[in-house]
Amino acid sequence: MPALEPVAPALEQRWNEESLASQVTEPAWRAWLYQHAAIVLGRSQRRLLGVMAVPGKLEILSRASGGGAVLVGPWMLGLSVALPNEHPFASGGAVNSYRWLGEAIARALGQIGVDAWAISPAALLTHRAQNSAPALDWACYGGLSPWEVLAGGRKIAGLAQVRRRQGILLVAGILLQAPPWELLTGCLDKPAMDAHCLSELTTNCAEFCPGMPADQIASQLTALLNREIEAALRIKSASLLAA
Amino acid sequence: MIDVALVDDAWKDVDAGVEALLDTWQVREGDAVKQGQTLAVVVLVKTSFDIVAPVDGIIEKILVAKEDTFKRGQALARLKASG
Repeated sequence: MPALEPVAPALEQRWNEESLASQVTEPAWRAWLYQHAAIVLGRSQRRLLGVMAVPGKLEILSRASGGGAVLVGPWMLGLSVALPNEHPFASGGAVNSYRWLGEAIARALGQIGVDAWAISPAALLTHRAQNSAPALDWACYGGLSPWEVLAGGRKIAGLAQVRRRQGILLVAGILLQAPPWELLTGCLDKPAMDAHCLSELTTNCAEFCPGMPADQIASQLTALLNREIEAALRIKSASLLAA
Repeated sequence: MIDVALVDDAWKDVDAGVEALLDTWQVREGDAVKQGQTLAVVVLVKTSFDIVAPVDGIIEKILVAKEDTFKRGQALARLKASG
């Protein structure tokens, strides 16, 4: 697999839109590294564009999927997976569609030494009951949804989804290093304390892989995700053929 | 008259009590719509769903306003089938 080249964040959003612009007939996926920082707002967050503390300071993009704002940048690895509506991973509701991707990410993270797991709906209820920290739902990494990925009890990968007549699109963001959360809170005019809370609620690969250079973490994880995602899609197709 | 709603399958494994958000309407009351046309976009568990017209018809009444939340099984609009 060739090394993944960082791209402008807008390119990911364009790929996502184009992947659902016509009928999805077979699975397709891409991983993303980012050349520079940008904020990607969730579908229902357009009103945040009006409260930008420093307009023009940072590129602001919107995505079609739900969820909170994401600060993309060199500290993150993104994933986009487009599936046909009739694909087995697309059946059984939105929550079920997150499961295989969350579990694939957790397995890949485990192979670089990150003790990660995808949180089930039942485990999420327990987690919420045991953690009194206020959810910062305006930020993707400030909340937790079924099958998102935790390591050491803190969020390391977020998921979101788009379902259209043309197919479904799953997206994920995996934290490779600690993001500069104050950039996100500063741009969206959120309290400085929120940056501290986001730091407390999240973790990243570098914390579990001390001494491993950032580019090595990114390249190893990308190769492992390639294997996990391809295998998941292949096994599902094979089981369909055998049925 | 046909009630338009988010398909029940979408709510599978979603915690009881969780509501969805009506993000945008792409039609207005009185509009003629075609089967399969996107009427609205809603968001549930970080997932955006297109709500499509089940048959050709006229949008008789919008029951959930933009940016309001709604529960499982709740009708979003009422559609009068053509013909």
